Amino acid sequence: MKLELAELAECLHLPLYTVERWIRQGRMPARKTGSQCVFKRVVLEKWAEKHDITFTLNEDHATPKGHDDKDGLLAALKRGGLHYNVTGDSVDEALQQAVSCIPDFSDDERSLLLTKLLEREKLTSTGIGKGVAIPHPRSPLPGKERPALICTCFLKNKIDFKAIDDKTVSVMFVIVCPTVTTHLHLLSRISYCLRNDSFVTSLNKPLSPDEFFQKIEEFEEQLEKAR
Amino acid sequence: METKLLHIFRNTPLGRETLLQSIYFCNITRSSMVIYIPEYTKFLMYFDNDVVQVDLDPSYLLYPETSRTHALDLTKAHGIDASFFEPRQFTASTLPDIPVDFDFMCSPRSISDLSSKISLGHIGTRVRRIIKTAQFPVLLTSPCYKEWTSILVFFGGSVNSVKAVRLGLHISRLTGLPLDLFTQVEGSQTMDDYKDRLKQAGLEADFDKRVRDWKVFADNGFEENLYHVPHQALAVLGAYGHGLVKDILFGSKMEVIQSVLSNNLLIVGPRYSAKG
Amino acid sequence: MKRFISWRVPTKWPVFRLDDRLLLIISGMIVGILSGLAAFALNRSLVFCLDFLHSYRAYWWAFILPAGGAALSSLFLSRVVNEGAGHGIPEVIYAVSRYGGLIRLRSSFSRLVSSCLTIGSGGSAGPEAPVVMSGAAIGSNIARFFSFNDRQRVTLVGCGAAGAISSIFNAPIAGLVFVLEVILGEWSTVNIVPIAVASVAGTEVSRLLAGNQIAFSHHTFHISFHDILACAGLAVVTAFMSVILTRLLRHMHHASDKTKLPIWAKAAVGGCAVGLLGFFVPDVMGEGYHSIRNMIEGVYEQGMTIAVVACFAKVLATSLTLGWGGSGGIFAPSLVVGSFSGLAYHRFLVYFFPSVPWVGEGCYALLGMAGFIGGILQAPLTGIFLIVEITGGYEVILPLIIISSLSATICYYFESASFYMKDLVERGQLLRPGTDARVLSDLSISELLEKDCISVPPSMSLREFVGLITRSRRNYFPVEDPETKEFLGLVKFDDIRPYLFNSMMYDAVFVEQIMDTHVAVARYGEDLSDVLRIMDSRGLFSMPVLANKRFVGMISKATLLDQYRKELMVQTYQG
Repeated sequence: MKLELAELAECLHLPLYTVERWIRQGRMPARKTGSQCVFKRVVLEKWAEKHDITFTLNEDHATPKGHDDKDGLLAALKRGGLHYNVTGDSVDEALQQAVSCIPDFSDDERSLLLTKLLEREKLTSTGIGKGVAIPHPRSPLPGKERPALICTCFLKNKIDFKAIDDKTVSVMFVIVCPTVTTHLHLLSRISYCLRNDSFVTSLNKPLSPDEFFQKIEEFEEQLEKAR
Repeated sequence: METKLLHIFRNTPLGRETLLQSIYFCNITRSSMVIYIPEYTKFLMYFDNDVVQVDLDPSYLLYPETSRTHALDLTKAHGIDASFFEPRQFTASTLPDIPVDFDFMCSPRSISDLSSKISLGHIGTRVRRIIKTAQFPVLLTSPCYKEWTSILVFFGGSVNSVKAVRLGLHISRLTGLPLDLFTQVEGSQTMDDYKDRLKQAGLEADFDKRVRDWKVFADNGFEENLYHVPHQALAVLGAYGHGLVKDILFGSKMEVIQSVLSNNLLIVGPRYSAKG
Repeated sequence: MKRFISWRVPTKWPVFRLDDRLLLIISGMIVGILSGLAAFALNRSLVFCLDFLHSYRAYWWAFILPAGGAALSSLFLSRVVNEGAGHGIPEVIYAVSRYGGLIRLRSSFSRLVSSCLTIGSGGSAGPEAPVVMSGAAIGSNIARFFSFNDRQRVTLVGCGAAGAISSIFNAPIAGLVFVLEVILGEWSTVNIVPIAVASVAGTEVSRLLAGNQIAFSHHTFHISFHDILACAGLAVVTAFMSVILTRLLRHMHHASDKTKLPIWAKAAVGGCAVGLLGFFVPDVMGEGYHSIRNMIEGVYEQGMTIAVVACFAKVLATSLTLGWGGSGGIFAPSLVVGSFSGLAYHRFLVYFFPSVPWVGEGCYALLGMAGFIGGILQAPLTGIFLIVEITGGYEVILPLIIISSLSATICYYFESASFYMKDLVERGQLLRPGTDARVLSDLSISELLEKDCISVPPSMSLREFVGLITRSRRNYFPVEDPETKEFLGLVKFDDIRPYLFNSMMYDAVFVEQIMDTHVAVARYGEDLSDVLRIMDSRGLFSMPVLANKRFVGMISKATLLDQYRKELMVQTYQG
């Protein structure tokens, strides 16, 4: 096989200088011709294994799969959907109703999610003040991996969530994520939106999906710009 | 990463011209300069697969007490912050090793023979050997300080001359100076052959942007055509790997060019791997 | 497609593509033969020189002969081939450990000629080291010609040295052991086989050309237990002598360095002194194999005092020759001094314990040689095998082992490194494979550079800076002058921790107020061991790296460990 020196260095996850030197010193089963190096793939793989060096050829590099589930708040919100007039007078009831709103979940999954949400709620309340709560399980759900979703529920009756500012809660964002990193990513984004007071007050009366998504889109754009 | 130039300082008027030349080169290409003031008449350069012992002519060791101040005065005056190289490794007690991780090296046409012998038409054997084994191009200065305002690449279609074109483009990019190409058509080759070579090397796009003029000569002798090389140009050319015997039998373009042109020459050896 | 495979690059030939062992064995054999020839050539020209000058030895002015030879040899080295004096083995070791065994082509003959002039004219030095040097240079240049890589080249350098030693002593095992113990410092199967082949080839060359002679004729010795006990005493004596020789040589070197004379004149001074010494003690002249032969055969007639005097005279003559610029090795003089001390020791034993049935004095001369070689080279194995082979007697192996290793151990107390390596150790250039120093010298800063740091201008406000932190993956932020791009200082994440949650300060504080301007920096081309020393002394875990006052990256111990481990693994892997 023939590869550019720099490409080979990348495959071996080593600095270019190191690869160049190793070839010169004869520590690596490869030869240099000009700026390219020639080697037998099998031999080099064997060598890499013996020396505890990772060797991945470029074509094996599948696009990292965790990539698309970071695609942002808007997509997750759309996946979860908006739900109005969610009933329930206590936290447990409201959560049960909210879980039943989540699209594409089997009954088993719903009950599992509910127990997990309640467990989390027992720890400390997810009511983050200003009439908003963000119930979420502490760890990702086992089983089939799903893209992240956030289910937005406008409650029919305001309920006491034991929130930090003791205000009653009228909106819940139920966050369900496949990985912890996505979870944190979405959490930070949603909390950015909720820091905006006018947005929070507008949430007090149910928004139409179009209005809601448009606002979220604006926020996301702001965030991207700040980057 | 910026580029580094190695200059071996000779504390004589001739050495001053050479240093001025290096300073000009560094200023215009924004390279940093490393100056070595020799303490012994010989040093070793360990290349990848060769070791070259350079025997300097004794004039390099003259007046050691003033050499550092002379070099500093000159570089300071031209706004170059040169660093001085102190050899730390010695093969034998009077034989220091000089590292070879430079991007350019500046050298008069001969460094082993007495400067009185230097004239056009003579490249010292050591300089030749350095060119042959080094991974960096060597700047052969004109005998007298001379500025250059354009770059001229000798392109004969060989692998090495493609490298020279690459280097020429690189320097043109660094300096913003215009680039000319000089081609003496040989044998049955046509212009398309030459263009093809450049296209294969992937130089076409850059080429159109940078090249001012392509001087192509089909008639007259090569030496006669060298008259058309601009007076103030840095000549970039590729050298070949063959040895002295072949040079004598077949003659060498490099030898011809350097014996006719008094311009500054930047010579690319066969081991040079283009980074630019 | 290139159909034509260059004959100059045998590593590309289909036969050798898979594995280079066969290639190394074949080229090792060629190198062994060539260096064997070089050794033979030197040997013959020495004999010729000695014969030629023999008739002049009787004259009163004969003492200037060594002076002339030494002056000529140093002139040849400094003017014709432009090399330094000295015997060259440190140079070989240096080249092997730092530059993959790259040795100049001219070294393959320069030392042969110069040492021939020195020794042939009567200077007290050995022909072995020059032969080793030229054998190594032959190996290195053959490897270079065929574009071998560093590892293969080092093996061929070893082959050359082994072939030379094997050929000059007619002792294949000694050649092999010497190279592994002294030159390479590494025992690996990849090396041993080609070197062994080269030893055999070198020996065979000398046997074909000079006949299968054992350097010193074989005698049977009947060693009894009390002889082995007495060995311990001899070990002390030889160790003592070898320390004296080492120190005296160095003193002579310093003395000659201080003298303001042209190099050739210095060599002549040394030669003159040796010549004068030779008037009184003729045994000190030349390489001295003749007197060793006499001693082993037990026909050396002089008494104990003369032997002791001769012993010290030889030490003095050797240091005069070599210290003042003559050319040659210490191998042969060591053997002579060793055998003299063995002899003197025997005389001493017989004098004080006349009733004990001591084994013959030849045996003690032989043991003395082993002890001396083991002591001065601190290479006990080389001493043992060399003596066994050049005397052809296996029955002395027990006392040989004892005296060799004892002497090496005692010497170690006085001189922490052997004669060959002392200079290298002092300069920190002895880099044996698989050692810390070697790994660090192979790694360079450019391989460890972390380039994903974000540079900030000094005028940046803390607010902007905090925003930047959320995007960065590093805890260090270099501050650069926006115009000259010069490095001004470093902001550590720790520095701003106190202000991080105090948004009042966000617009009041600028980067230039919080940056650390007195941060320790490493320069781009600096040695890694120096950088590590700074890090350790200041308790740092990472340092910014500058090239020409501009920031190029960070170097941290975490990355270093990663690379260090890989490097060590690749270097020490056997097989």
